[in-house]
Amino acid sequence: MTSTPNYEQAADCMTPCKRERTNDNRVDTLYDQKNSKMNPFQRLDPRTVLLVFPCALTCVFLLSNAVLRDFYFILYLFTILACLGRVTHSIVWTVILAATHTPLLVLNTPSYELVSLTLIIRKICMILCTGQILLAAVSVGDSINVMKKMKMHRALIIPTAICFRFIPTLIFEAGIIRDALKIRRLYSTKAILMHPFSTFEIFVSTFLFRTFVLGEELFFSLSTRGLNFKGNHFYQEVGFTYRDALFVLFTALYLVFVLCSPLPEAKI
Amino acid sequence: MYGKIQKLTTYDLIMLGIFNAALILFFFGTAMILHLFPILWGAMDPIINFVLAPIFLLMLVRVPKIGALTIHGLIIGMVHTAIGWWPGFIAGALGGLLADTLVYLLGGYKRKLVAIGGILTFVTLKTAIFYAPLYLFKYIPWFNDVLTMWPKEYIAKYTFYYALGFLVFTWIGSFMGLMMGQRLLKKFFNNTRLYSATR
Repeated sequence: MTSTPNYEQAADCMTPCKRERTNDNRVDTLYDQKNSKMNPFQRLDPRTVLLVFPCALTCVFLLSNAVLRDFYFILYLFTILACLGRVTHSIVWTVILAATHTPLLVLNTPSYELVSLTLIIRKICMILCTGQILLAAVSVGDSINVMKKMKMHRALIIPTAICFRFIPTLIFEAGIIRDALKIRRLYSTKAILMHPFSTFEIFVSTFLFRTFVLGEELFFSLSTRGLNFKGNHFYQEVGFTYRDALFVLFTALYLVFVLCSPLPEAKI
Repeated sequence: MYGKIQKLTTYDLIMLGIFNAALILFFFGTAMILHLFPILWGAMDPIINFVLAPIFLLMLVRVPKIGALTIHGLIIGMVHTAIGWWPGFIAGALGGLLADTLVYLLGGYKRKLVAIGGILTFVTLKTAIFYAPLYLFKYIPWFNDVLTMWPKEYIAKYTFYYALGFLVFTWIGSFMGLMMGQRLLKKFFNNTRLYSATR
């Protein structure tokens, strides 16, 4: 006996659901409709994104020894952020980089502290942009799917998925707690400077209470949605396609250009 | 005297996930704030470990099972790897595994002193392995161009005793954070659902 699957519930559910094949191929049609509206980077296999960006970042960290090479790589990251719709992040970092590197152009002999500061800011920019790309390009469901394909243990899959899914939620909750403490005059610049440990105590204890309550709510919610189900069926299949090969090739060629090409002499 | 290896339930795994999210949030938040003050760059690890220690303690109070620190080490290792520092994965994984082994040999996380010892072991080992490439950078040709920019007396300071002093301060920072965590538990979490689980 086959029953018609409820596609809305399956799409909303964070946990894996059993995929049933029906005669009219409604599952495949729905998959194609959803896929066609996705950002191009989200159509890549999550493993490609999770491997390529850290490798590229490591290569640039270890092998890039010129400011222009760093900027070429940052331009690549900004382009990808723009494709993922995160333009504000790129604009903010452009302003910060312009502000910190302008003294290097103006001064004849910049001090080594200034040069080191600009180096650190460029590296932080690369790290945070890479983190943003990974969070935007890989969804929690896909990451669970990929980790199961890589035969990782359930004890690692569940905490990892929940950890990355709930970081934005906890940032939001921390903002609410900070505003509530500000209203009660328990959190201000003066309080932080005059009573740093007490302010830290109050903030952390409130935050941890809220974290614990969120965790319990999540447990009840996921239990009713079948998190204890140990099957390996997924609503969407993921796998390597020609897009992954093209993306890896393009990134590798661009990295070769960034790290090995002869660059013009720059003042900075 | 050995601890019991209990299976991690779905509830435990979810709690670990949520607490790890809080740890990562505080880790990056503190690191970003400290990067604005160059004078505090040398004290970054002790300060970060001071901030994270109470959350570690509460996580182990809530999930007092062998394997909690290993899972945390692997998750934080994956985060360090994702942002480009591959030794971070080895540091997290090895630190977590060794800390859990030590706790298992000493009786389990339900004993308060053992839990504190486990956290201190994890923090110290992780820091030592995490920064190992930096202690050795004088011997790696890749860093030659960077080294030419720095004054020679600064480079000469990166000796074994500098590294040891750094680890000692990290240990002290983490210990002070754990004392604050104890205070938080007694003052705010005593007789609540969060802390009563250990009674």
